Amino acid sequence: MKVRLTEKGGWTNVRTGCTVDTANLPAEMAQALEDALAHAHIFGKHADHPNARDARTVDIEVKYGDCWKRASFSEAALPEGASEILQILRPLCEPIPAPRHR
Amino acid sequence: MVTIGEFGRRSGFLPPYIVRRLHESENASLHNIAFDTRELDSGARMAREVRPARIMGRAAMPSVGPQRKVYDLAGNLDPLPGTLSRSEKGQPSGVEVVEEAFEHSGITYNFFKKVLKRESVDNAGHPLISSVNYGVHVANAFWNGVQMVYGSGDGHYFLPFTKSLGICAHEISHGVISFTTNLAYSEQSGALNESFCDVMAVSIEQWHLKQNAADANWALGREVAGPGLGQIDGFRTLTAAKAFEEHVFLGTDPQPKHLDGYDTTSDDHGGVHVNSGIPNHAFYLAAQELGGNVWERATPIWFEAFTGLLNQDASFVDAATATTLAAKRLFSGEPSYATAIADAWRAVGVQSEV
Repeated sequence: MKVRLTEKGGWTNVRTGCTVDTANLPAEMAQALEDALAHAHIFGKHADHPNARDARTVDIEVKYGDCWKRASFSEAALPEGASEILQILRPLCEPIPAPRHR
Repeated sequence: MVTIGEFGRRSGFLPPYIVRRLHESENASLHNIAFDTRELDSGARMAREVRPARIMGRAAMPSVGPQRKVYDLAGNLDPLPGTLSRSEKGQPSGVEVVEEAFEHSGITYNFFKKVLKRESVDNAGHPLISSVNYGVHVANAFWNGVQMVYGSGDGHYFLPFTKSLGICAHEISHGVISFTTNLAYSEQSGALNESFCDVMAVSIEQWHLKQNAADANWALGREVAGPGLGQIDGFRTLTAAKAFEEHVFLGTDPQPKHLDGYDTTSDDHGGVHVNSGIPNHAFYLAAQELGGNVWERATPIWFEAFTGLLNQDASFVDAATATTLAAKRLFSGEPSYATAIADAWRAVGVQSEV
């Protein structure tokens, strides 16, 4: 299973992220990630946190078969089960250069 | 220069003395009730028209002193705020990030109190609550509508966000805006919201370091750049320069310095952290022209305009007009100040209407 985490916005406005294939992760980590994804309720529409400022937008994409499925939410309003996924994936993230603007 | 105070009249859902008691409680849940009450009160107040006359004759609140509380999440993401680690009457915790959050909150509180005559975020002494060690490898800090939340970075690309006075000042300034003009967090008003917080951040850093406008470093966030990012001056700068260019991990600083470069992206609430570069640069140009210490000239003007004169959905033109008007009122004996501010906005492509 391939999983991609991207976080953008926030105080630094620096994009960070990672893409992992659970087949290439240590077995214990891969199992923890798959379990976390199986039990989380991250897909679907999530209420934003209207009063949060500088909170990043979190995108989690999971490849099921040939299709990527994406969840998007504010880090200040984490949907149920998102914490466990983030705690596993964030240590694997690096900054990603932003697309060049005008 | 006239004395800066704050709007005198309040109307609340709880009697003020009860809200005050809740503020003083050691129980975080009770703090939140008090804060929610004041936020609702603030929202109702901001629904009314903001009139320029409000900047005149404000009465300063009696000082209650800083009410800082720092909680440690110990690497967890929830539940906020975590375990109380340091409070105003308590002993130092011995935890570096806790003490940094405590110290920087105090400096920011003192700036607002001594320079701008504002008593904490709500002008009524609301506790400045911080949660540190938020999650693992979290490279961010944010204001969640109630309190500050600080990640500790990964130690390689990003260091703990508590290290930066500017970041702490920026987040507390979001609280100030939420209790005043409550600029909508989207498009131009959102960029103005972000810009106000950057302006307060550089002002507080310069005040703390006793630097004048000509000598100051106008970049923000260099303290949280880890060794993996190499030498960068900051994550953004209010000067005409780019904070970083063609950086292997960061790319090129995307902030425009002129309206011609306005980014119409839908990301980040309509590019609030990108397009804030335009009003940020207007402040820098105004500060350079006015000279001296920003906290004695440009900053009080920006504070009056952004917390008292703007409506929730203000545009860049509204901000140019409001700051020019505030300069006329605060520095009526120095007509060149208003001219300098209008010129600064014009230089970034925004025309004041006064």
